[in-house]
Amino acid sequence: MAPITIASGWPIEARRSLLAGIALIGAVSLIALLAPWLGDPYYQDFATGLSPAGLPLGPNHTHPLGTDSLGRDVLARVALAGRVSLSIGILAALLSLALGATVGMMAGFYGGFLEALLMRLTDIGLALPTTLAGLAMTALLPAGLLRPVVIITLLFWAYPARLVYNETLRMRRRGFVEAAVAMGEARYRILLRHILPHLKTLLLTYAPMNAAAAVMMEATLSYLGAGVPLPTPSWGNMIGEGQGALAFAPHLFLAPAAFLLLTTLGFLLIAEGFKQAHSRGIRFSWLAL
Amino acid sequence: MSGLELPILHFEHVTRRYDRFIALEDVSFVVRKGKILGLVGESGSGKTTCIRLALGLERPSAGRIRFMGRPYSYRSKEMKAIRRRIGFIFQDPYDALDPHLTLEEIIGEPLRAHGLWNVTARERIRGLLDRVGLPDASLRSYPTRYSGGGLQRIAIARALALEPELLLCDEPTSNLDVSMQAQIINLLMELQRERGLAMVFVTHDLPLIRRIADDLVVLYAGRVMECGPAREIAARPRHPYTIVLLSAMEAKIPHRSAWDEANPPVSPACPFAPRCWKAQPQCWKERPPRIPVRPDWEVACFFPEE
Repeated sequence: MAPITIASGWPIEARRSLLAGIALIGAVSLIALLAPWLGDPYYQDFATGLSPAGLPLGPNHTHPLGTDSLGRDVLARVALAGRVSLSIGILAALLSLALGATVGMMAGFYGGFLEALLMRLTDIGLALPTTLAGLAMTALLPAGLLRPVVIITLLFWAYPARLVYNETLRMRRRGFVEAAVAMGEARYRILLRHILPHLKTLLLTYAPMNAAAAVMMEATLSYLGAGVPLPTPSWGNMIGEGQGALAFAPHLFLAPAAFLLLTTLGFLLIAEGFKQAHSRGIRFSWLAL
Repeated sequence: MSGLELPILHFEHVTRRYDRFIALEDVSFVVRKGKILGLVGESGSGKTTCIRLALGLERPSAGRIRFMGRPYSYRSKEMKAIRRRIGFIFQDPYDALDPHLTLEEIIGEPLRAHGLWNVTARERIRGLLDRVGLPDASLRSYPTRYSGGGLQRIAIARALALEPELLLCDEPTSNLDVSMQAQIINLLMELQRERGLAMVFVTHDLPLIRRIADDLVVLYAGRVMECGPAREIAARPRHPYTIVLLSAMEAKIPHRSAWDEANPPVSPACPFAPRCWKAQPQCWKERPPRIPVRPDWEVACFFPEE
């Protein structure tokens, strides 16, 4: 077997965290990707999917993670929910990071009125109570799978914006940035050539943490009934459904909760790997690996 | 210092304030074509502010700067045309070059910025690296591979890429080893001679000023104390501050230690009055005008040395 070449030059602890994180996310993603082959998540099997008393079945040979109160296969549902939750979480994480980074760079580099405007908006973004504001936005936006993406993006962009803004302010004073200004280089090129590459470490370390938080936020919203609309499963709404059955069918709660936990843990381990590598002086390329 | 020829760079009563702090006040001097102007003064006297103003990184709060007779305009197109003709070398070579770019990208950046990148550009960069004494440097190497002296050579190559008429050097050797300093100075002097560059040279090194500078401007607390022909001022300074500064430089001691104060008191009249052994009541009340000792030599003092 070929040795794993990912992050081969990194310190061992950093590499271990990173690889553990990648393995976890990879495993969860694999199950999510295999969803169509793991059974029909919507088929309500009242004949064999429920106990004689009409209760959900626990884990067994035909249903590795048991069935829910409608006789649907929990593994199939958790896997499909993985597709939904991961796509929403990762998409929202990337969008909020991109939006925040753009806002932060523009505010930090151009200064003046633009800076004042963007940073006051950022302050508002930072002051929002996330869950409450998320619920309010839910009421204002049309339902659908894109709604949580939009909401999470709007809730999360301000944090990276603030970080990138501070870093950009610092970069603007660097000699090579001032040199580029003094030689007549166009501003947008200075931003792209001299400032953006120096934000790499910050963005790469922040991205997985943002993804973890976004997946959690999606689960929170769906749990509260404000995220992914039923009957489409997501980890959040499955946890919500399973909560009522904790006493007699704990697997309905534990299965989606475990997936959510492993995903969050995976992203945080990746972030930890980046952080440790950075603190040991490793410099990242955009692909990081 | 007024010649018949049009000066390359002309500071006219330039003042620069930061909120209430005055970095430069009523500073005037000219940089003559093909000549070297030495800019001396202790830390915080406004030397670097002069360089930043000349590069358009900052704007004067009052007064004006002219390049080849035309006043600076800060509209981007006109500023760019001025920047096209001014090269610069910063004090800290480790900070002045982007570690993420290759030598080709660094030295080629001014060319690209002004739309001058063409098929011969790479050859030109090669030629520049040869000229600054890095003939073996790979165009694809990164600045992290070089030490301070090498980096400053790269910065010089970049400064020359657009064949400027004016080169601004902000203490270009103060961050380098002593052995490297002489090499860089010699290189700069050779380049100055062969290209007829006008130069502004900010430095603490008095023997150097004596050797290379044609004109000298002595700054103290953001004001010009004395201004005139470098060699003659160095030989026989007229302003009390110049005398102190030069003797401190000569003795190779940090001149500030003469007072034990990092931030000496500054009088709004003559800024040097609190430290001056010749100060009279008049020095505390009025601002000394710039009195010509000779047509090309001015001293801002009521009681200059004879």
